[in-house]
Amino acid sequence: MSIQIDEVAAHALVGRTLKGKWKVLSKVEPKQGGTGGFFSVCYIVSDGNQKAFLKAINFVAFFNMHKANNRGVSIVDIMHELTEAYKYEKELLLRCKNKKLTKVSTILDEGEEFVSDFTIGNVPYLIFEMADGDIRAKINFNNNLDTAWKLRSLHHVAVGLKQLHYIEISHQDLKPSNVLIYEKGILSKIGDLGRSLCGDLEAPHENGDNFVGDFTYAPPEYLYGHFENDRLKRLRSTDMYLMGSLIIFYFTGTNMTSLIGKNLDPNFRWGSWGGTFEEVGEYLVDAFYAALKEFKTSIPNTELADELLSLINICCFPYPQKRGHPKSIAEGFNQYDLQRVISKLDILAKKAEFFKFN
Amino acid sequence: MALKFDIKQRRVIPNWRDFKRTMRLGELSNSVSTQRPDISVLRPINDWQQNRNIGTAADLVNSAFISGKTEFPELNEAISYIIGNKDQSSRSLFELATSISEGTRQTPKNDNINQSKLIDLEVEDFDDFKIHLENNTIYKIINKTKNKITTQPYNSILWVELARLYSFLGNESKAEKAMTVALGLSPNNRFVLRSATRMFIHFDNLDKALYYLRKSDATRFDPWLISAHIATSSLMKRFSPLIKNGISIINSKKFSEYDLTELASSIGTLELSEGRLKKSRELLELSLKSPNDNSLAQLEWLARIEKKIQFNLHDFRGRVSNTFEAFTLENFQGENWKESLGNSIKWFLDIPYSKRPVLFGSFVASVFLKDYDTAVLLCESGLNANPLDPSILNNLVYALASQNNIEKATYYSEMFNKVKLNQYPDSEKIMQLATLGLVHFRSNNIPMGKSLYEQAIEKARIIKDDYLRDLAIVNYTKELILINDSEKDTFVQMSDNISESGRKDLVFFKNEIKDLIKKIEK
Repeated sequence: MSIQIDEVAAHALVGRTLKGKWKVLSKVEPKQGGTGGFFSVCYIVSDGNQKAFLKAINFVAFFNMHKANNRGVSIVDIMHELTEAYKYEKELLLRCKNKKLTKVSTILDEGEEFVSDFTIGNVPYLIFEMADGDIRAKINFNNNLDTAWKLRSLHHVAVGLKQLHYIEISHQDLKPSNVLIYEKGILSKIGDLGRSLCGDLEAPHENGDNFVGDFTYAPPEYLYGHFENDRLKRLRSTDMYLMGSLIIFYFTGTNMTSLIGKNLDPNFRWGSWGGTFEEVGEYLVDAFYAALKEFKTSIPNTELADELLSLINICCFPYPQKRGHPKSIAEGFNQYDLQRVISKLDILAKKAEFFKFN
Repeated sequence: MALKFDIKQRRVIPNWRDFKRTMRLGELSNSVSTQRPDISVLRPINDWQQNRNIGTAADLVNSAFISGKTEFPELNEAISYIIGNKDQSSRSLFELATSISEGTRQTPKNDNINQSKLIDLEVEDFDDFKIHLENNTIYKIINKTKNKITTQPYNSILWVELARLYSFLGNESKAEKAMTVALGLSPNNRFVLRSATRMFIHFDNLDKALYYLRKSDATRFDPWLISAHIATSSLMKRFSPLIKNGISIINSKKFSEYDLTELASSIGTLELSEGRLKKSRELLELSLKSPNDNSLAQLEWLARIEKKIQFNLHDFRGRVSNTFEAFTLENFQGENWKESLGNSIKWFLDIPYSKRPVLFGSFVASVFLKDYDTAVLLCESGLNANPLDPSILNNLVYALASQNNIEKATYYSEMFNKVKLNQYPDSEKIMQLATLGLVHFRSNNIPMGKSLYEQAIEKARIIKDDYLRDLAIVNYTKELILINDSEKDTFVQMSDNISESGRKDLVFFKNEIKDLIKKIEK
């Protein structure tokens, strides 16, 4: 028998004032399947000036999860796994807050509330800036519209990714649902650091060389079981791919991996292929170029199409070691540095804002 | 006299086709079962349920496509949303959604029956054939391919295609350059390596073919590459150290029967040449479980030289694609000349760098069908990829002289002078002497014609090649009858005494001689 909601402290925060500042206004549905969706309860809170988003950790859910899980993992291990995940995310978010990252959705506050009359009354929580939603609610794949907004939003995301890299964090889970919009779409920020990996902090979810993000957006090498040995190269090339893939999504509604798969013979797709990534690599390259060609036809303005194509070409090449700007590679700089992508997106966004692509 | 080009040692050398056709034939698949991650679609399903818009619909469709999970109601709703809101969608998203809904995208097509429908050369008649052979078309395709390469420099498949196009034109150096780039980019890729093997063998550079196969890490584990290595080594009369790997791969049962067809055929051929009939039979039977055109042609050839190998090509009709070589030979044996020629034309169009279909087709066209136009066209096309090839030149001159096109026959026969014949076997010289004899007969230069035919007969006698001697005699006899020469009776007598020993052309010529005599007597 599972424990009911009214027996759980994390579900009993409405009406309370946290840290004497944050009034809990209402409960909102958590994202199922998203990071922490099973063990968090979400609320809208306000400090009188601004509304914010609160994510409360539901310890009791661990017990329900333990009953439901069939992995043969002990309750102690589950609790350890999830509390470590919470601590890790909090640590990263605090780091982002302290470094004042402007294009990463970060926390405004965090704490732990004790709610009496419950078996487990402690409720740790994180309070985030309140976003309007993620880009999927605003986006439209008819490319005669919103080009300036799309390019500016992508520019913000690229800046956010670079900011994270600067403080040794690799996001690893960049996808449309993790791009949050603020100020009615004027500002975009990267959200959800739950699957991020850090240079100097051990992540509880890091599992050898495997991909830690959402596999439905994974770069193709992971789908074929290939992992770059050099950790930093692996993380940076993954983020770079996800950035390029996001560009594709903004303009077509498909991601790069889908587009490659669409242009790949079914026998070579990850679900059918019995060989290695190296063995299928050339067919992926061929499909990648076909995907680029298809993408190009989606953009009515040829100048913009060519510019975006060159960006995607450097971000999403199927071989991770060949991603990156050729100049960065030739000049011996970090080939996965996003500065050139940022600059290009900024220029394109400005041009679009001046109606150059209409 | 025309030459059919019987190969003494057929080996299972990979055929080299364009990427798309090779892919569709299933020769590039990898059927070993492998564990892939189980990808969850819970998050996008939940997001779609909470907010139904084009963004969450797109997210769900992408996730379904990548995870391979396409049977759940929310996906159908999202697809309907995308289809119903075309104005918010892109063509790519629309196509992705509809392809999932039609269920066509995730189903690998690997059965042989489907393959045969996929590849259709659409050569129905002579005119179609001519269109395929327009030289300008090839130059246009080369330009297009080079343009593509400028934007896709890392695409080794395009480099292979460029090499293939250059090989159609016999441009060895450019073909080799393009192939070397492909090999540099993809030294372990099956398509690249098999194409390179065939190209280097075509240009008679067997060492290089073997070098790249040996250099690749993939060759030790890939049945399609091991087969190429064994066949190439065998052509060079060398022992392939990979035979053992091949046998253990066959015994491992990890690969599909189709993946093993060429390998089993290659090793089976070797076993047969070593006299191990039982072992050979087992392997050849395996090669036929799910054959391709190459393993079928190999069986067709083996069955002809070893009567204990039982094989009925017609059991495979419609089940295997591109079986043109096998059916060319099969129809030749059955004296279905038209079908044999038709298949040799398709065989040529399938692998236009190869000279065997050119020689076979032009021989059948000239000798049995008297279709000299087709013979000439085939030879002229074959010369593109094999310039100055003495056998093709010979068949070309033979066809032209036979249709009394003396001007053109003389033009091409002068090219014989550019051929360094000392690099070729004596049989080439004998053929050439006889063919030049024909040209001189038809040019009314009878003494020279007689002299050349007699030299051909004498040379064949010296090297003890009875077949060539007899072929020269019957051809010479025909010409003597046509001009009603006084020596004709001697040669008619000689022709009568020739033992045909199953040689269809000799039988045919002897019958022709009888008919000609009857005509003269009337």
